[in-house]
Amino acid sequence: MMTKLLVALFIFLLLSISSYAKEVHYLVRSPKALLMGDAYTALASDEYTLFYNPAILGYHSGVSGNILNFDFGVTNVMNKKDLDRFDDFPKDDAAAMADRILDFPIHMHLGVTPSFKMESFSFSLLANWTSNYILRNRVSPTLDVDFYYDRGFVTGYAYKFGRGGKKTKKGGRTTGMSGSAGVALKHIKREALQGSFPLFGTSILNAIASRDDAGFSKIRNELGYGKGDGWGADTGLQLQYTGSFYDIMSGLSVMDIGHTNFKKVYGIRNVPRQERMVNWGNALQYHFGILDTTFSFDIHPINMPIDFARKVHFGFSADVLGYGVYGGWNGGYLSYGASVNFFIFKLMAGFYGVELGTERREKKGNRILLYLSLLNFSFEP
Amino acid sequence: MSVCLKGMIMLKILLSILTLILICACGKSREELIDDTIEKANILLTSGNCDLAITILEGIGRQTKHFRYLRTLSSAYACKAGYSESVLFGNDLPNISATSVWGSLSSFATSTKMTSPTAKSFTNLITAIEIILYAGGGIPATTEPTVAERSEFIQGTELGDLHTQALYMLISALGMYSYHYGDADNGLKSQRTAGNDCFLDYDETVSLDGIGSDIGTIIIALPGANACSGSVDSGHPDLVTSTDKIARLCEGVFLFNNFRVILSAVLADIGSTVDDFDSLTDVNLVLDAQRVLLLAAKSNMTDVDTVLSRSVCVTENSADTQYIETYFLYYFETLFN
Repeated sequence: MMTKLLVALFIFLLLSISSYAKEVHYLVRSPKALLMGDAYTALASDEYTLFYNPAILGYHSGVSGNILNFDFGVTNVMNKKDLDRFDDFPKDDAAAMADRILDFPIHMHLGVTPSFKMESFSFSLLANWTSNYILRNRVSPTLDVDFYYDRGFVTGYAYKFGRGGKKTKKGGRTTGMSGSAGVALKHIKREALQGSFPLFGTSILNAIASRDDAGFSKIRNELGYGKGDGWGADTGLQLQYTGSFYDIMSGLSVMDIGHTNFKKVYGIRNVPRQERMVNWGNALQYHFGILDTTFSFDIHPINMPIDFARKVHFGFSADVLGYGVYGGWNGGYLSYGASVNFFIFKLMAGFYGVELGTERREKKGNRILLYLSLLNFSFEP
Repeated sequence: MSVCLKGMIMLKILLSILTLILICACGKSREELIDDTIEKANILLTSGNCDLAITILEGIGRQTKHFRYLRTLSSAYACKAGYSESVLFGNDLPNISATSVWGSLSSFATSTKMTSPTAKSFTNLITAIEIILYAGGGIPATTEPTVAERSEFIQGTELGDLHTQALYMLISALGMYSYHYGDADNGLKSQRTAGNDCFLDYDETVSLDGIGSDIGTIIIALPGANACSGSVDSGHPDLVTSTDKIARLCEGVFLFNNFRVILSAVLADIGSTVDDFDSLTDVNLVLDAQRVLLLAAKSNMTDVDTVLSRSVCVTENSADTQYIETYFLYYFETLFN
């Protein structure tokens, strides 16, 4: 009875919080997660643990690291409609150029997140550069700019309890229930420019006209580019039942507790804060010899007022001898991809969609990602 | 303990925590609702769905102090008018000529959309313009929507961007106005079927006390290329016989006076290196010179020359049309052809 009441109350509260504009801005996303519909809160045992759920560190043993990893992301322009936009692209006519790129979301991303883990402790550096642009409104074109460059570190620790999931001397695992609670601390330097600018308004015309040798950076500064730095904290809880050939996992994380605010050190506008995000993820993993399969389901960000359907994420993965295939449902859009993993080297590529509008399937952002990781290592006692 | 029971315990623990978090989580704030609506409206306007954009924006009530809301609501009404800022900026702005202000404006592709005084293209554009002019919310329709009034609520680059948006729409609306009431075609007055030589059927005896003359004398002295020139002249039928004559004249006054004020504000705001406004800079000089002539020709022109509100204009000029006639003669007739 109590569970039913909780479920009813939970669903009511979820549905009562709705609608928030634009793409949800997470601090860092795992490429694998993006290919699995971003249903990863209970699964993030890779180098991106600290960006999903620090409690999962409780399940790490030994020493591991990812020294060089790069993830790239760009707009997917592989469909004909988008390619046609760039045929005979006008060079000098601002209005004609605007007409061509209207409603075409431009996304560029480059990130590095070298990480090191030792037992339940982890340290990760991050440098993430992301630019999103979209021109909207056919009548009075408005350029939405969302630019972030984050640099910093995150460190975390988790405490594991319960008997399930422990390594046995014979190389197996103890079955049973276990849990883990984790915390993380981070320091981020953020450079950002976020805003909506009328394309033919005085702010953009003046910014463009005022450019000198400094070029783009001058335009950027005129429009309100700012720099700041701030401290933030995350916490998480992971519960897991380990069976003989399967794991049932459920994780809850609160990232950027109290929001990560940035103290402005440069610029005319405040630096956008990193919003607090509450994430709940569940996963079922089967281990059949050389084949590992995973099914996952997440709801996130629970606390943000976005259309509920955008919070729903499903994921699937299958790994055989270092080869992996991934699929998922990311708040309304499919994602899929594949990876190759040979000890010190990992390569991953795929496609995914994100919501750029205010409700599910209102405006899709088609994206391609490529991930390369070198000099990976892992030692277990 | 069975696996099922353990699963239930896990679920209960997590649901309890999640429920607590959700209880503490904030719902959508007023600001988020406004941002969300603006975002949705911009998506609708991207696909040309003007009516739905207006419905959702008006649905949350007029946010008269919210810069992005005003921009978007104004463009939603402009959307219904068939207006496009890209076309205005890219195609029309470079063609504006200081030597034939109304000739160039009436030649815009969008100007032909005004087929009657109540054409939706024109009336919706007026609505779009007034949304920006009355930004701030504290300005009643009977009050002059001055730059100073607006700047009490919206300042800096946001006000500059609003003014630029209004300026483009004012230019487009003036193009329609001069096309329709000037019966213009190919940049020339009196070229179509309305049969008028002038905008108005002037009372030629109206005195121009400043220069010791009258309207009739000035009309005769207009250059021969100007269709209004001569002693027997006729006004546009929609400005002669209609009971709405003063209201329609005041639409012209409203558009032109606000155009002059906002043009000055934008030119003061825009950097000297922005060359897209060169033609407007020239137009501004011509208008300033013409204003000097107008004020020299007739005293007490303030009831019409500085009025920025349509309703104030009607109130001030209904009983006596000599000032509005003089205004039209100096601005609309003289600067056409």
